[in-house]
Amino acid sequence: MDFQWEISSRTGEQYQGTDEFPSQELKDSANLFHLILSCPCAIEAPYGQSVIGTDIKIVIPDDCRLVFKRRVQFDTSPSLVQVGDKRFMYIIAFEKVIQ
Amino acid sequence: MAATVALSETYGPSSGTTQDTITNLNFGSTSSYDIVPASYPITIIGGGTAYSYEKWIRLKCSGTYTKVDNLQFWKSSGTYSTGCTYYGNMSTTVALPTSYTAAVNTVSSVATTALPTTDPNDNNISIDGSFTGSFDSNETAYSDYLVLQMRVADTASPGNVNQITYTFQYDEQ
Repeated sequence: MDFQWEISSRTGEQYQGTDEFPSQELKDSANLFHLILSCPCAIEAPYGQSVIGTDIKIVIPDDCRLVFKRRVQFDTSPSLVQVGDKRFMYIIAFEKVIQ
Repeated sequence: MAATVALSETYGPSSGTTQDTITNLNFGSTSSYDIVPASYPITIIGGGTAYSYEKWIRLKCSGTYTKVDNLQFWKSSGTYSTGCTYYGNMSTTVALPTSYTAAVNTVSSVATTALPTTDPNDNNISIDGSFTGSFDSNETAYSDYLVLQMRVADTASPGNVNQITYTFQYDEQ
């Protein structure tokens, strides 16, 4: 497992997922987002904060939707198409919804 | 379950042959994939500049995902050997080619920009001719072509060049 999440929607339902990203519909309806990571990762959190951790809970403001993505980097050199392992940075942010 | 993003190379005459799952990005005196440099060396030209064959590279995306975008490429570490420079066509404003043109070993009209040496902080590899393009909904698809070329001046020395590291980056959701 790389990551596991639980979303509580504004209508009270709960959804979970493992190693797959929530749909845009779920992210739009999320009120509470709980992310568990397999190893400590740097997380770019809202308001310019960066945190390192494995267990993150965030409340999404009512006028915002959840942004949750993973930034992946991998290195190559001329002689090796992949050097080392892929590196992940999880990005959690809020996106204001314009009505 | 996640997106699988790997490098693919197209080579040869204008009809182009695409090889997915390549194992190196070596430059050489042939248009092919997985080049063994000792077999296809770039010969230093006294009083002139030698050029590798261009390398036409794409990122291929497959697997299970909702969206992959924000493709970036830069040189992240290593010092170029004396007389050796590397050029590409990455850009944040001009979309990369969507189709292959036969790779050349003369000065490239496509790979004209020195490789960025820091994170560009913006996508510099386009998808479907656009920097707002993306891979969507589990599709198997390719980025536009990143074209690279090595130039060797007569100040270079024979033998292996210094190891350099490139970094590719993408966002997955």
